[in-house]
Amino acid sequence: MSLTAGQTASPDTLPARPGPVRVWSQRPVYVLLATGPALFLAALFLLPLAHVVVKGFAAPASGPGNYTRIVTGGPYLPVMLGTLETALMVTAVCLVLAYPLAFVGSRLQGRLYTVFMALILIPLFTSVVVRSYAWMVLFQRSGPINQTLVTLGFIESPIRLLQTPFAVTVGMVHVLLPMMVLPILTSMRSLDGTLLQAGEIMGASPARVFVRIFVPMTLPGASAGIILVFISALGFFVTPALLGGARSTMIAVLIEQQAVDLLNWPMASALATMLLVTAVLIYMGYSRLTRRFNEMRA
Amino acid sequence: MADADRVQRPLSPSVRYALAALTALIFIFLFMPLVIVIILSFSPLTYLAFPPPGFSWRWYQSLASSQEWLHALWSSFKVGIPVAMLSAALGICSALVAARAQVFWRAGFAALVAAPMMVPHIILAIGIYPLMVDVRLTGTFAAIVLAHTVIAMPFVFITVRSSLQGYSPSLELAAMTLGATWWVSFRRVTLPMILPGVVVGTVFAFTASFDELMLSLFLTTPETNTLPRVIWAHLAYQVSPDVAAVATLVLLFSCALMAMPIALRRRGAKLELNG
Repeated sequence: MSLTAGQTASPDTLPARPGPVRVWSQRPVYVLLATGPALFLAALFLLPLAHVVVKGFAAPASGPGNYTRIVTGGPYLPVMLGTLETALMVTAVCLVLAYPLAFVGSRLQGRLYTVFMALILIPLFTSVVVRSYAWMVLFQRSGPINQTLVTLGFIESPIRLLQTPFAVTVGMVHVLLPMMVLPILTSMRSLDGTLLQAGEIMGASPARVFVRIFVPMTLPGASAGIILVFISALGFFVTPALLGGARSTMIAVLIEQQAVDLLNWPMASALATMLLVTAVLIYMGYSRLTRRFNEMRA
Repeated sequence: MADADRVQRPLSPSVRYALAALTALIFIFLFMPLVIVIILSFSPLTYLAFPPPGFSWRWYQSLASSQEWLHALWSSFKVGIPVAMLSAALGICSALVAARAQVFWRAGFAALVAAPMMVPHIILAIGIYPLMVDVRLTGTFAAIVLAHTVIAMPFVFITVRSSLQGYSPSLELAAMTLGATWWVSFRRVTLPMILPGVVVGTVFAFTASFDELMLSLFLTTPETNTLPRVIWAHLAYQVSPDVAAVATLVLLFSCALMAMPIALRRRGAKLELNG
């Protein structure tokens, strides 16, 4: 390591520098470093969120008017419930597919592992708009899936696949699956293999070792994946807008319609607040659960 | 890699085959749509038919001469590159604080910086648009760059923080006890150590902006339309193969970008989504 001029590390200059207290605590530097990002986020993240929450209550008349309208009628509540249902379904399918996939990945080494990672990351890096477009093509009435089904004799004439909840679920699983795989894979690869060995030495069958040791030890990764996928799914816009119909729409699409098509910003803000509160509550529940889980393990 | 000394029990043949089959099916599911789009982009027809009856470059030729698409591509870079740079600067600062500062507000600060990842983009869009109207920035590149940076910065923050947590702070302390100022120790010790993380995070930040649609829907005008925004506009009224050609090019570009993190991953950089 070389030092710049004027800071030669000769023994007689070192003691002249301020004592170890300033070397160990660089508080002013970190306060300075934090100021930029903090101001940026205060202006462009916290302020907009506050604006959304306030606007939901402020107009057209101040008070909870928008919320009584949400609760008492219109498409709002059914769409919100449908969104929760779709997000839950997508998360469940992702978990069922991602867990074995991550398990396979965790056992690969060297070049094979690099290939595996590339195959997971390529879809992750592909634009969501592009991927939803791809599913639009696949699900068309004259698209490849309908053609194959007709050729194989499963159906007599092409069926409607686009604008169904099924299409939305498939499209969203496709987008979110890599986000479920990555945290599970990380937890599986950092798992201490000697624990599994210990289980076997004590006489447990491989299935028992898997259920009693491997699964519990990889639970933190799985729960991180679940929360990540679930909260992302709640706010999904592109996929439901392109693949879903009027009946399979989701809350983000409804908010965009209220703001852009109907210019009803107060209602859009109220719905956005509802979505924000839902996401925050779910996240808080999750962190409380993980904390309790960690305390139990300790 | 420490893989060699990991304890692994061989699986029974039936489990092995079942897992191999499942893995193959999942990868087919993940890649089939992408492959179909690539094939369609070479279709000679003006409507979508699969499989296409022939091969042609016509959609690529029409792209190369289309002002709309070229302009959108150019706009995407004009937005994405400043976003990546701004995200890198803000993300590195935040990561240093979150990983090294010994202050009581550290956890709260780290939560704030990572929070935009967990907030649906539609909520941000609804909140940022009126703000940009107030400061008269709507329709400018500045508006879209600032908005994209909010969602792109956490990617740099997370990857760099994970790099910083990957080695002991005593290296920096050693430099400082030897007389280096904070800046010198950052420049000579910290930065070389976190560089792979910085590159990976910046690439992720660029991609986040390059793919972003929601904020662009609210904040761009025909003058500043980004690529996803124009693809979106085309999908609204037709599904013709010219979008497939654009999609194929975007796909190729994404793969090229992704090669960078994978190459660096071997050198110790990690994307810790559960970090």
